[in-house]
Amino acid sequence: MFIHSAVAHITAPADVKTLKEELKRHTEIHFRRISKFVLLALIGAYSCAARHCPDGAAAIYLTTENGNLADTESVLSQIYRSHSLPMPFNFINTMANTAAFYVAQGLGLCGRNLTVSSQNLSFERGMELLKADMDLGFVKHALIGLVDVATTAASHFAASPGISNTQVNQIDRSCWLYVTSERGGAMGELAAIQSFKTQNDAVQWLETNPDALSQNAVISFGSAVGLTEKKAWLNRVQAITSQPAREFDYAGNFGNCNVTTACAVAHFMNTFSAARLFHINKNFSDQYVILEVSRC
Amino acid sequence: MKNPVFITGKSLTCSLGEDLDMMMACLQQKQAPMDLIPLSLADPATSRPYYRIHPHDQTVRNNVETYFYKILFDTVARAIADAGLLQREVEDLAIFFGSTSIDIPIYESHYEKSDDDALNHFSQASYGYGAIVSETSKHFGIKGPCYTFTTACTSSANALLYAAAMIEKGSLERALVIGYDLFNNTGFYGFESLRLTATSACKPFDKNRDGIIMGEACGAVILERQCKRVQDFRYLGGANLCDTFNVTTHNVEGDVIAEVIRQAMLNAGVTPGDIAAVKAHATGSEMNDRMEANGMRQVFMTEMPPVTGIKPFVGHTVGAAGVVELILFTEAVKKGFLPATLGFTVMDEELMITPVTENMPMAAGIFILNYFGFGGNCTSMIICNRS
Repeated sequence: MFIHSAVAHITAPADVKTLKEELKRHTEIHFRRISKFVLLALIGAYSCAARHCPDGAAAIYLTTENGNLADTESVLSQIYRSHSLPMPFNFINTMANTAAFYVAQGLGLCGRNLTVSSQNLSFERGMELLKADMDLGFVKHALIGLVDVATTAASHFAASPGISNTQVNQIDRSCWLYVTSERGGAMGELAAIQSFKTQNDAVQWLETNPDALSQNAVISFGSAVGLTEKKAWLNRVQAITSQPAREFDYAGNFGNCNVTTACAVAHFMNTFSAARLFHINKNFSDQYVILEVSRC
Repeated sequence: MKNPVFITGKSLTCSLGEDLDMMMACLQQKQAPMDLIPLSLADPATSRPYYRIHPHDQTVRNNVETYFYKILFDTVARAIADAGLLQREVEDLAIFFGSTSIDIPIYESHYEKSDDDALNHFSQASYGYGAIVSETSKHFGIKGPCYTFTTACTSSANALLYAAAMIEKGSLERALVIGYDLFNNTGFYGFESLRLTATSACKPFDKNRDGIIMGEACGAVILERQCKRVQDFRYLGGANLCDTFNVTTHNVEGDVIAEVIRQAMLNAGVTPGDIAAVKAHATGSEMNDRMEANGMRQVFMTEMPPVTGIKPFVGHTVGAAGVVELILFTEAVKKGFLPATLGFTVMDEELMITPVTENMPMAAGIFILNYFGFGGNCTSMIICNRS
């Protein structure tokens, strides 16, 4: 699977008006009654498509941890606080797949269209589904992204006793890759995506890859991998390669939560000069996934 | 060379109960008990029919979170037992979960009890889409990967397609596929806001159709490479596509629906003439009836196989429908019949579709199952129990 375009749209929590202005920079299409979640999806996907025009049969894999929080919130408020029927489009937008629909409609993509999630590993699981479709010949071109809104405004945390705003650096993010089965013109290759039931299994797999780890490679980590564990991983990589392990701290600018694998890959492709990235992530059951990305 | 995929275990909890033999008796006798639920939070004078699950002990509903997981875990446990999986096989399972509402029923119950101040500080409207499957994984000691599909009414159908694809290509040995949507006010009031809900009965393809009636259900199936019983159905193939016509409705001409059926048949290696019957999506809404009828006609032309709809028995279980209707359909065929489409009495001349109105003898064949949903989702799958 080859990466032809990669975009990370990561900002402090933005309001709908700001995002609508941002979207206007990418398309003249006026999308009616769309929410922040949909706007984020469109901005990221359009940015990615601007760098490499997607094939009309391209599939869409939208991954998300939380889906459309704002519209769900509105619907709950309308039902439970205002005692009214919800507004129809608020209700429709509670279904996160509407964002994938609008991306398909806006970009004219009629292929497979999925919205998937998996606690803390949403992007990785989406990649696995895309790989299955490519391996079986169902899909040759795809946009795959992760979209999540900041779970709540920073001001809420600031006003809340006991929680420091600096500890909860909330961000909106919409990170997308355009992936095809064709090497020609690609900027990178998704060389491997491996799932492991335990940390030990993941370590053993890395040990089988000393050459790849030695070739100007960097290591990045998912948000559930803590500082102590990161150090242990870097030490392990150093032991495997007999050279200092380099961490790619893609999260540095964004605080230490809410950053994702999709952000890491997109930032690696666009900003980092190493040849190869190993991204190590896990869920809260300590199941691991390692994504290996190399530059073409 | 693709690995074969068989449905070796199944279980279902729905308005017809949790005993599959009892459910089949209901289908054979055309019994479909419904409840009438008032829209008490918005319009107390109005009620709408709904297909509810009836637990033996009604008080378990009082704690929604406990009830939610009890239904889920009980259903999954029965599917695992039905497939006769060993503990090590359970540990190796991957979970493919499809739902429209996901954790909304639980979140709603907490939201209802919270005061405004707490909501302003901590409201998130979800505990994370992956949380339900993570809990399921922990409960059963499952160590395989977990996937949550949220593609509206095609959610669990897509979950099944991808579970099967991963087994076919050799990434997985077996998988647990779950379709689950429990009653929630977001959906109940939301469909009412769209003016899609029927006031009396679900009548797919009928000239006097009245709209959809929702239902709650949890269905679980085990997919494996090896057939365990002679009667086990085999998954042959499937496809999904996006109709970008409109976020709530598909193009009435049914072009994308026709294409997804064709792609599913191509993937399965079958032709229209091989199809013994179609389980239609058949919601009973005006637009669904028209687009599905037109799509099927493009594929089958004048040689339309028998068509049936399952929703008049259990309601539209939205994201759960993929697995729920698969189980009811396959169990009926195992019993030797294609279930009648309840509620149909008057043919719509514009559709020219007459679904089966009496149970039709049918014990084996190749079948198409259709599912469509908001967000342009179109999914078709092909299954077979013919050797």
